[in-house]
Amino acid sequence: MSASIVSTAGLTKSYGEATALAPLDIDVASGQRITLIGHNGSGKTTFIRMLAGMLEPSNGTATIGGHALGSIEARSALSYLADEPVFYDDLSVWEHLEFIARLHGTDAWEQHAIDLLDAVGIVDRADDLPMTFSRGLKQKAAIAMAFVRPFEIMVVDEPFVGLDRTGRAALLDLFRSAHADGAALIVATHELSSVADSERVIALSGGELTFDGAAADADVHALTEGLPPVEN
Amino acid sequence: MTAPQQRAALRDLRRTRQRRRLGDTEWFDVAYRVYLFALGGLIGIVLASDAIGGVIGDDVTRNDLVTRGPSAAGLVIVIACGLGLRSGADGGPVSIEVADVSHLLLAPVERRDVLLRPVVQRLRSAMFSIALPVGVLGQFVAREVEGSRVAWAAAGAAFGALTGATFVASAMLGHTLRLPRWTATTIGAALLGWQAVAVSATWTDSAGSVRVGPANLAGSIALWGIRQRGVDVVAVVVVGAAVVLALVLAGRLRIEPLVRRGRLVSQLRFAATVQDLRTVVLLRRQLRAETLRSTPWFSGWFTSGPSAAGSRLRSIGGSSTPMFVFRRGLRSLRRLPLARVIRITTLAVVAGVCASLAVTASLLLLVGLLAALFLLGMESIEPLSQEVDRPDVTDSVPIQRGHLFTYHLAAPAVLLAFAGLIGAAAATAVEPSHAAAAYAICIPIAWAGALGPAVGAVLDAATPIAVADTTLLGTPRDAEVSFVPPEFAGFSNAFATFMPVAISALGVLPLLAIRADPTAATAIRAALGIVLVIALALVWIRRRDAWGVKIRAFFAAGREQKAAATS
Repeated sequence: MSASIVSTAGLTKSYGEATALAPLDIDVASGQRITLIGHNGSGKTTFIRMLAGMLEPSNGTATIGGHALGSIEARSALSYLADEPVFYDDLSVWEHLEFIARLHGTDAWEQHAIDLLDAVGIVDRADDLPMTFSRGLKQKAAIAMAFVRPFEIMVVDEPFVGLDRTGRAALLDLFRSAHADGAALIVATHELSSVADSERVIALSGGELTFDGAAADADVHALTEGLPPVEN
Repeated sequence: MTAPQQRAALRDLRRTRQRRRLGDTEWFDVAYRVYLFALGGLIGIVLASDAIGGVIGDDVTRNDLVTRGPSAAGLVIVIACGLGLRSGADGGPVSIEVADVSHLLLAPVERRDVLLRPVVQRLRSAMFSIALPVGVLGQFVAREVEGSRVAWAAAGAAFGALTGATFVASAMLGHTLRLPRWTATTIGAALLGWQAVAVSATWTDSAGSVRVGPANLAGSIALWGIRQRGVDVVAVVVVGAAVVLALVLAGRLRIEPLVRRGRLVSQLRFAATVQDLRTVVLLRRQLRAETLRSTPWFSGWFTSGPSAAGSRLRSIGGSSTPMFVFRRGLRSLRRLPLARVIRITTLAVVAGVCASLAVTASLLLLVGLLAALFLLGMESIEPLSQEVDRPDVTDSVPIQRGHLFTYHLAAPAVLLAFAGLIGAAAATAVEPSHAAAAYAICIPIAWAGALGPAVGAVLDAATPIAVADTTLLGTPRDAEVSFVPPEFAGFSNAFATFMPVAISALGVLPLLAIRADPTAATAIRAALGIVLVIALALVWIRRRDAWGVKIRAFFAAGREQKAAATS
């Protein structure tokens, strides 16, 4: 078993009396590919956003590569592909890629950026402002931005929303490539077809862990239909 | 520590964006606006300084100023400190773009390197935006007491800048030290209480009471136009130290509130740009993370949902539309968050104190009264605002919208009546001899204050095609194109912004009459006048669409006659 890239202990998120995520203890090994499934409101996005550092835990701790959430080392190790792409309204796709790569200490980024834009099919839109793009094109630009920087783990929230068939195929290829390079992946999705590529499935319901085990053992349809949880 | 190459990337990113922003700026337009603002401001100040008398009250001596001024002005500093602590506990005072949060704060760059600049910008804007009006106020004061205009204006500006710095530093410390809301409120209330005791002691010359408040030295800076004390610099040093500490701790700003505020602030800036005051107020509530209570303050009469069948209010109100809408408003009110209840109460107290002091002391306090009344109105007309902002829902019900809008004012009127009574109690506490006049006029004044926001909201409502499918000149509304020159467009924008404030100013007019003759009889006569105006406004809101249809028909008939004559 590889060392843990993500480790949580009693990680909890509450809003007043409402619990968005009940205490969660999980370990993710380096290079592991995980699909996170659950209904709307199950706590997937909360969990992903806490790992990314966008939400503060109400209780418990989590580490990324042994470093506390939000630390420079954790930010350096983790790439976050959000469900809603965020851009500067006055920078082109190419400028976004340049600054993100440089902010993460990457010097030789140009060819990698071109390859990424080519992979998602927007190389001819590199000089356009992503704020003017359609939802699908924005998602493609966001995918390129998430992959242009080095990372040890990528956390992804609903990455297939708005993507056409080509975009989905390109994204799955990028996931496979990153996985082959040794990166861990945690993908929260309702797209159950992506479970096939995963080694592990984590299911949440009502903020609680209902399944955590090998993808082969997971009855994903039952888990997402709200049927009783499958024992690991 | 941020690596040099990442620091360079951050610097290049900012330079690129700044260059682009500056490149997009219409410099001639900016220069023209600055020129208009400066010219208008200068003329306004000169005219106002000649017209306004009694800024600091009649018969105020130098000795009064020196003994009472520091503690009274210190109240402003203490309020700024308390508001700052609350703002910090709620995630303020800094807001950055969501893209900066996503791309810079999640990058392996020291957060202080990213956040220091927005913090300094916030500090600068707070200091300037308060220093400017207080400096202007200072030169008004100079007309009535010894000391040069320049000295008083400079003292006012310095005091304003200190107030702004106190607010931002307190907010930053409250945020970065993660003060819980209740702690921030407790500290703010304690400081305010202490300063209030000092003000009371110096005002009443009571022996044995605490005359030194926590902000007396800072308050004394406001009087530098008349006397300068070296010891006052201690206040500047303390605030300066707090500012330095805030800048040192800038990297500890929490990312979660920055995300929330980042999403709202771009909308808030847009709303402020188009002078949409209602949206500004709504978004500011969201910035403070104010949400309606999930558990109502009280149930029983006002119970909603399936359990409401047979509830007492329902049986009293029956099923008539006005009562139904009234109940909906009351249900909204019973879920008001505590912060908003406190704000409404505070505004009512401020209105009462300002009204009382405007009668006995400075007329300038009418400005405070007007501001409090207007804000009270903005806080209370929520049900009407909700209706106006959902025209599709309004159009889907078989009720004339003018009638619906007036029904929505019933619940706010109840709330404002309570606020008015609180204001009257505050006015009575300041000057017991004003009790009869205060209670006679408090409720109409509170209603009049809300009239401006209510009229503004009604004017914001889009005119349905069913009411009017053309402009007055007969152009189809969907083809309407504005050819209004910028100067007139700016004027109409300013008119739309200030017209509601001007209407709310009706609420302060009775104070002028009471100042001349502070009796209950005068108050009652003034109250009747206000009620008459409010009634007329309600008739306008109810009949506006019908009148619009008639006016359009009149214009259309004219066009037809003209066409027939020319053919």
